[in-house]
Amino acid sequence: MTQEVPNFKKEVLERIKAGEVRMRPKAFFVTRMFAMVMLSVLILILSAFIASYILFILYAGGDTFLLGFGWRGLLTFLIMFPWFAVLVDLALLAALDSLCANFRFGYRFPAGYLFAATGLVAVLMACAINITSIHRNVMNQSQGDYLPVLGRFYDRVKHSSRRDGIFKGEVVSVATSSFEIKYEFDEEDDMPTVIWMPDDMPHLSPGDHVFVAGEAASGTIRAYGVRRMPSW
Amino acid sequence: MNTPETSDEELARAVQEGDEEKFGILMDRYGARLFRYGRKFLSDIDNIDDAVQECFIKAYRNIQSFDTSQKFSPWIYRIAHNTFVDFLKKNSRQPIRLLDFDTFLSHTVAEDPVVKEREQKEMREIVDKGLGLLPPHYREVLVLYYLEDLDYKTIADILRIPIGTVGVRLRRGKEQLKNAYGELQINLEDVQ
Repeated sequence: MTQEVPNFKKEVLERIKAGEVRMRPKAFFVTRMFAMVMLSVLILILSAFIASYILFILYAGGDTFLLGFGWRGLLTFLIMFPWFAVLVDLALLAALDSLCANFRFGYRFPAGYLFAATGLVAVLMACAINITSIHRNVMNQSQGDYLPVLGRFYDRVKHSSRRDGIFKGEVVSVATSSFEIKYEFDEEDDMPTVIWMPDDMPHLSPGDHVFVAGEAASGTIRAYGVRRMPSW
Repeated sequence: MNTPETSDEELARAVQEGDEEKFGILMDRYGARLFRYGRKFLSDIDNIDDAVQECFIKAYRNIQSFDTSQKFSPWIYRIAHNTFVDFLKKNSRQPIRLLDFDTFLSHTVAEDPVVKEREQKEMREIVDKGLGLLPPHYREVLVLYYLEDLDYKTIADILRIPIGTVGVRLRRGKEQLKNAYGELQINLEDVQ
């Protein structure tokens, strides 16, 4: 297979000798590699932190209780799910995978498997982060206005979401098929609210912190699910 | 100078240490191969000389990134691949695939040297004459495998895709090529 090859060798060598084409120093490639590794590690840590935040707000905010409240609970769970944070996390994982694809271990794996593997690592790191009290501390600090911006991300843990039919507060009195709660963190509501739950009302005592899923009607809330909140 | 005992990797190391003339030997060794690769891969583009020249300029600029404990040929083919893809993006009207689902899942495809040897001559001619009928991502794998005689692993390193994907693209490329010949009512035996 003989082919006529254009004679650009002379031109390229002349440009090299004239200094028109210069070799990049080794330090450039070492620095670039170091920067890529550091960026990958940072993205992984950020992704793990966001995943741990998602797990934390679902657990500490009581959202996971909704899964035990039948189809209405499931629907509310899906509506309240922090989809935006999940999307950001997936975008970070995709960015991480595209960085990994510059390395042999990255491109040798099918992209789907690499995505699953980096996702699994991020979730395991997230579980490890949640063993510590980092989110709890940030949330509690934000209550004292030490971290006003970051604190907004934790608002949903303690605050009610009336639009979605979620109410969180402290039990002040208990009757046979109803109880009263006082909102601790929703300042606009100082008056206790009556929660009516004719069926399966759990055993509650004044001072309990509760998570209530229900519908507001005529000044009271008809609950379809009540659980004690985890301690913060 | 261009002694057969001097390996590409040794020449590359000499260039890294400042011996510019040795780069000329590397250009002699790879000029024809990259030109052939470019001519087949960029079949619908005219300025292949510029593309190949650009490959060597990029290779010289980035030679310090070459690890001399590895093989030189996948490294320079990788530079050529990137350069040719850039040329395709600039000059071709064909869309370049950004998402490649072939790389997404695992494919079990074994490379069989006996099969390759058996079909090499036949496929070389079919591939050589019908590349323009294929999209670039299939065209490139067929060129590297049948015309440049590279193995799956080297092609995977050049294109930075899983080895299984190389096999899948080869199979699909061959099928598409045969289908295209069929649609054009060209007898494969006439091509050979």
